[in-house]
Amino acid sequence: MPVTFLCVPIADLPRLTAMLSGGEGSFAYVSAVFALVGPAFPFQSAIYAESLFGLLASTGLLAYYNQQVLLAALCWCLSSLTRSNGMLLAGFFVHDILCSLIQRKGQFVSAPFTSSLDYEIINWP
Amino acid sequence: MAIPPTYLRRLVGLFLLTKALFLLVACISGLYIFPYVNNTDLLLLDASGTADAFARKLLAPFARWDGVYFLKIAADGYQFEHQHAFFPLFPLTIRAFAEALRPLVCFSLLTRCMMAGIIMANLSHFLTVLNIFRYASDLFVCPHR
Repeated sequence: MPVTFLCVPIADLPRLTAMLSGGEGSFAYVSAVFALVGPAFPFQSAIYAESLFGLLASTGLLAYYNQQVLLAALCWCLSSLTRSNGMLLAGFFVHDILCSLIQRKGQFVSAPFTSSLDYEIINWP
Repeated sequence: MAIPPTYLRRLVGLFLLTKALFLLVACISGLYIFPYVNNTDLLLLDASGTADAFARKLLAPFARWDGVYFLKIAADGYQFEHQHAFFPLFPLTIRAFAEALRPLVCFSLLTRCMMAGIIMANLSHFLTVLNIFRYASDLFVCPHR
């Protein structure tokens, strides 16, 4: 059944590929299309917790990227109440803490995601 | 970041198209094809009327496998040990939404939970897609902030 519904975006793939180099909005659009129609599409349409989990996880990710750490923590806490996978999202915090600890030892480590936790620690009253 | 109206329109269109196709095929297959798993049949047993029974049969394809457990937890709470494999937030939101659908008096609580579950799942999916768009936009505009 998923194959049937994958036909719609597949038919649109050449245009999507051409759009990849078109600008910032089209890159985001292609990402969103892949998030919309993928192998998990039937699960995200039926009475399964995947959709709610995805919503909470992505909201948390967006908040974390924008350095809203508490909101991200709240979203990921709720996602852990939806599916056990949510607990793994704490890995973003652990990653940033490890990066900041290593940076303080004077070693060069690029923080590929965000240094929001480091920001919070530095600005702690 | 706000989503540009052009992309928003495209995403809404693609979402509605794919979901409509999926819902159509799922509903038709639910009416005419014998299911591989029959635990959903438990949901069809105690319908309160003709409309209720038809709605349950129509929506049954969306409540296969784990869906049955989520619905039973939403309607009756945790009753058996093995139900604790399913975490509570999704059944809780289904139940809250089903209570909001109470004005639909010809449908029983379980049927309203089925409707609420499908609406919740698809709405959440769409909002996730919008979040991914925003996140990808942020990454593209200002990567490795």
